[in-house]
Amino acid sequence: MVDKLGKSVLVVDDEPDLRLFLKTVLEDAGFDVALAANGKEALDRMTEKKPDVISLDLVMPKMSGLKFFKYIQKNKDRKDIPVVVVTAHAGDEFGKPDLDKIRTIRAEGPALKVVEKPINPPSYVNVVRVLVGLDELETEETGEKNLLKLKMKEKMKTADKKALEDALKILDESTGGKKAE
Amino acid sequence: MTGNSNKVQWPRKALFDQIPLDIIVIDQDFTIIEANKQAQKTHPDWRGKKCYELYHGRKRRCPDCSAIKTFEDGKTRIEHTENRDEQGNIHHYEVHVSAYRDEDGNIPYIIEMANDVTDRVNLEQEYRLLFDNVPCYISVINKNFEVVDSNALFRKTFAKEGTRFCYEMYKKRDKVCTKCPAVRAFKTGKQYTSLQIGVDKEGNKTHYVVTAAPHKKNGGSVDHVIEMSLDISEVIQLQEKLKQAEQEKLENERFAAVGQTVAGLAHGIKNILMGLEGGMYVVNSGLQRDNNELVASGWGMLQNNITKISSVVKEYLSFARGTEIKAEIANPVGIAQEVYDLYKDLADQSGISLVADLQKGIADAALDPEGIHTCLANLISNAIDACVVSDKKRKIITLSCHEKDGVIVYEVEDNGTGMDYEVKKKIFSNFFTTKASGQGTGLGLLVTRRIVFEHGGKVSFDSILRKGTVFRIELPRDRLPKADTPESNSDGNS
Repeated sequence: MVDKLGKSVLVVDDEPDLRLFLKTVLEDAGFDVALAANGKEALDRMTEKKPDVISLDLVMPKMSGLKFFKYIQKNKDRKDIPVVVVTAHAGDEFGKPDLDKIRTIRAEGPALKVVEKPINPPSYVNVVRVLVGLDELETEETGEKNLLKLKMKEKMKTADKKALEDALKILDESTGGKKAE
Repeated sequence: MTGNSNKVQWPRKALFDQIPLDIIVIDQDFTIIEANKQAQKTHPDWRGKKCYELYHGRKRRCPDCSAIKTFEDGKTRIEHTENRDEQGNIHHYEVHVSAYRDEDGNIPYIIEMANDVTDRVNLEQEYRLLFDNVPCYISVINKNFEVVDSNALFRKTFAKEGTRFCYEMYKKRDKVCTKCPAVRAFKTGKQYTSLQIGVDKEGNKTHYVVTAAPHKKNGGSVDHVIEMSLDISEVIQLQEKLKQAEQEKLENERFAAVGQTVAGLAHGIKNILMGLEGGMYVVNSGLQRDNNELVASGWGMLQNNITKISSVVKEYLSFARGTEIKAEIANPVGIAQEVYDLYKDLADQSGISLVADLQKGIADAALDPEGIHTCLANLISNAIDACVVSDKKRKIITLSCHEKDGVIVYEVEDNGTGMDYEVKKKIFSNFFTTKASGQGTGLGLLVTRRIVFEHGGKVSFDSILRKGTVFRIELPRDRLPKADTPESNSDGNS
């Protein structure tokens, strides 16, 4: 079992499957998790315990993600809780207008993140970690990304003709002169 | 005659003066020797003048003068003349030219009696103008169906040279048409109107509404029929264009619906895949934590999503397969009754009373019974779900079918949860469902809408949160598809 981080996440989603999935992922990463099936339930959970992060679905019956978000903005105590919006509709007509409205209330950044479904557990965990002020963990994806970033930086520094030719030569040699054939 | 005038008794002299005709007497030199008061009124300076001089302002006798012939043979003639009065207005006259014989049988004088028929002639001209210029075809036919008179528009459109009979002209046939309104008008003396398709001079189809009005010249049997035809080809063309446009619109909507479904399918599958990935993750996590409960939950997720896949595939297949509905003559109420029977028990088990409100005597219509069945089943199934999650004590769903102004209307009304704005916005979207995982694919309403569209109808709904929802399917009879009947097939072969 992972060490407890002592941070709690409130997962709000109308899909029971997804709730269970996110709960398991977050628990495995050491978070305490509370669940709510819609905005109304989420308000109840929050009175029981104030979460450190809210993981919020957009399209839900009864009380949509946007309505819930607007609602908690009215409460001095709750309005600064970091939020990660989890949606399959970030770019389409069902989700984009609501998401844009949320973004006008709170800029995307240290207190608002957007994660698109399907969920990749390690990157979802990292987003939540950042929101509670923890470092990102190295994941396959972030590892590769960082490596590539470094390589690119290196190349960009020396991006002159000669260096590129040298690089090509090296590449050529390493492939055993296959290019010549 | 002047010599005999003294002998004329006073009543005869009065008759001569008071008769409402212009009467003059001329001698063989065409000199006017007598004129009655009426004639004197228009030409007070008649005395001693020649008739051609007085009436026509000529120096010589008129060509084609009837009087010359009557002086020769003594026969009475009627001629039509016109001349101008002092104000310069043209007057039309019908002149009786008759001989006066003396005792020896000679004809020393001629009596000309002129009747001013200007009013009648003007009326006739007006009538002719109307006849020729009225924007419809007019032909007068006799009992042999020969066209004895016709207006300019008719001749311009239909009358080819060398044709005599109305059926030759109107339809380029060589015998009397079947269902000819003129035949009936001749027979019964009544007026008939019917829609006909003719062929004009250029061989184009012409649609017209013809009214055949019988005419009895002597009040006896019908000797002529006047056919008045209003050309409605343009209206028919417009109608066809409109029909075509509607058809195209329907097809576009259908394509759009299919397109949306394909796009939606990808989205839906993505969700399911995520469910499967999530399930796998949860199972793995449960195994690692040695938590059987979590393993079971993850396993449940996997099962749910596999069920979901199979129902999506099934519904999608029914959606994709049914791009063409199979319409047959069926009773709208019958279909509703079937669906009611099917769902009655299921509703009862869930503590919901399903009520049928079906209007009696609705006529059969060209419907796809299976398709309509699917629609009603979808709506009732949705209504049941809406009632199940509601906390009302008395849960009622009413399935009704009635017809108003040629529109067959189905309604499924429930007093369940109702919908809020967000849900209303999305209910016709693909894969949008408010139901728990594994219970709904979100295709039901889409399929319903597609089937209703293909029947030329529409689906609408009213919903109030916590009060309930009513879904309505409206099928206008005149937009329903054509029934696929074996008769129509054999028709094509014959």
